[in-house]
Amino acid sequence: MKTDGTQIIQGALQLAMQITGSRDEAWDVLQAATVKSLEHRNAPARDDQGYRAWFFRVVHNQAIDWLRSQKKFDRSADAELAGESDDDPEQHFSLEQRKMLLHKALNALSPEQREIVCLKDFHDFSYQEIAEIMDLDRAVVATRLHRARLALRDRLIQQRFFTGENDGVS
Amino acid sequence: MECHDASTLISAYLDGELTQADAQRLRLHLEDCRDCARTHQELRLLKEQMGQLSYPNADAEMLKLLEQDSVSLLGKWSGWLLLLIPGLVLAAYGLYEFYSETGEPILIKVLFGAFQLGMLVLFITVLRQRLLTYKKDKYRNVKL
Ligand SMILES: [Zn+2]
Repeated sequence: MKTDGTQIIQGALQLAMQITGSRDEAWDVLQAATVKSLEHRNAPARDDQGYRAWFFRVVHNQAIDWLRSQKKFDRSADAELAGESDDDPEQHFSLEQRKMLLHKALNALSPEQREIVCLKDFHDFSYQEIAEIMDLDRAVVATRLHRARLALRDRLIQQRFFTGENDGVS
Repeated sequence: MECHDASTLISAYLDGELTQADAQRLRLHLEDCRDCARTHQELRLLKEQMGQLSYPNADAEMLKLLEQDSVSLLGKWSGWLLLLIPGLVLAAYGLYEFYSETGEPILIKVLFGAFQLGMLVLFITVLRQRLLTYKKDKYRNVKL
């Protein structure tokens, strides 16, 4: 995968938002992570293939430190990035409505569940890379990711996210 | 394959992280089992939509700020180095010059020696502190 420095920074900022649930905090986390990454002696070179995952790991650790300091580790995110809540009885959601529902459901998960789903489906890391970023075994990544997705799915079912969607399940 | 086993494999299947054999076994189960097939469809849709989420980007202004952070950090390091290396060389040179000189009174020599020793102790203390924090740095062992 080819990503330049700015893309890595943008992705890292998004990850920080996904974990902290807050734009301002994400920015602080990213700044702290940038300083950490520069002071770090064993940092891979910026054009190294593994640099993106390595930098995301630094961001992950920084974000987790922040969550711990805020005692928010097990709490769901504030509604800041959730978008407008809109209880529409209409069963066919527009793309925008779908995104909003998804944001909302995502923010109701724990930071850890949100992070693991985002690392896979938003940032497109492999299980092995996620294991390195979050400091977990690959097998643990597989089970936690699946559990997080099921939790997300259950919330979305309550929101009628899937109904009216014809996927051709026979 | 039982539903319980199948269910836990669905995510890895969607992510392309299953072995060929496991993927094949899961496909067979999905053909037979409505419940698991539905979970598969829902998670597939979920994965798709997750990839399309949008988050605010950092604008150029913010990126510039980050860069300034990096520059000031580099400045800090090179500043220290610029201060330290000539300082050490000068101190060594001064020490040599001073003691090879025969005219100075003993008391001055002793005082100057104490001063230099003090600087050395200070330097070693700071260095030790830095090494200790470096050892405790949990990112140190990140390997990829
Ligand atoms: Zn089944």
